[in-house]
Amino acid sequence: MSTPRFVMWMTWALVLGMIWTVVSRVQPESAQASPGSVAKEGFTAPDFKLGLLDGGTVTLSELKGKVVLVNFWTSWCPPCRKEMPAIESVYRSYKDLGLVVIGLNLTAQDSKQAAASFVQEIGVTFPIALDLDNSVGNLYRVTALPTSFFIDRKGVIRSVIVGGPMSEALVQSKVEELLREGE
Amino acid sequence: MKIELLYFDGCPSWESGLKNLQTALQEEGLSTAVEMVKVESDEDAARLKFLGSPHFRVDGMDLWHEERDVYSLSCRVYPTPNGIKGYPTVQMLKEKLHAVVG
Repeated sequence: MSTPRFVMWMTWALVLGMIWTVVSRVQPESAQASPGSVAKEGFTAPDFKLGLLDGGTVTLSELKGKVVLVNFWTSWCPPCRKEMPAIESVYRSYKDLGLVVIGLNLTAQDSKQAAASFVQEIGVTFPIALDLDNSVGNLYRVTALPTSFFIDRKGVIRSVIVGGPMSEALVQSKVEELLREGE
Repeated sequence: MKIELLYFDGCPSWESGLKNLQTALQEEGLSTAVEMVKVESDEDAARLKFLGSPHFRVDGMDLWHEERDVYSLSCRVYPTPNGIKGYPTVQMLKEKLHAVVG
């Protein structure tokens, strides 16, 4: 094969390789707003899929039929740290009745190690989702930490609490109200 | 012109917010001193309508206004071109200052 032809083939092989790399890359997580979903009270919660701290993934839309509390937090945020035991306590009391809690760590503003260390310190047993690229934080238009979204069994956001720390009584009353609706 | 930075000691990002605000003021040729307002309790937060640390106000106007039902000690985050951050960029602050100062 002549040199120019060899160079041309190699160039094509390189280009095709680059295209393949882009097209076939793994999408570890996704976040998208479907029509009618807005991160506001009364609207369908925007769907997301995120990797979990302990492995695996969580997809919000697959939790329909459950009451879901999505709590945005970081390990460096004092009110987030302060309210976590209250959330954990409510989770333990109501998980068998249909409560799911997703501790949504804004990992792009935190670190996986710091999040893991804090979760271990508190003894958190609910899943911790890692928002590595801010996609879910952006989708939910989070403007302060902590922020909690209470989502009913139909996937509708019923209450948003911006700031904290939430008391255990507050979390419990919100959760109970939504759980009762399914009875 | 009165420039206030409301902050809550627990959220470390207010320091970067202050630095960026001072840079923005300098680049805009504004020599106004930044008045630091420490928010220490939920009562303070409610009284001051504190939106989370760091919270920027010029002549009593929030640079990033938001209506809330409840005001409490929290850490503010800002949608920057580089994603959500605990403080706005210098450019974001300059644009807001432009809008307020004219």
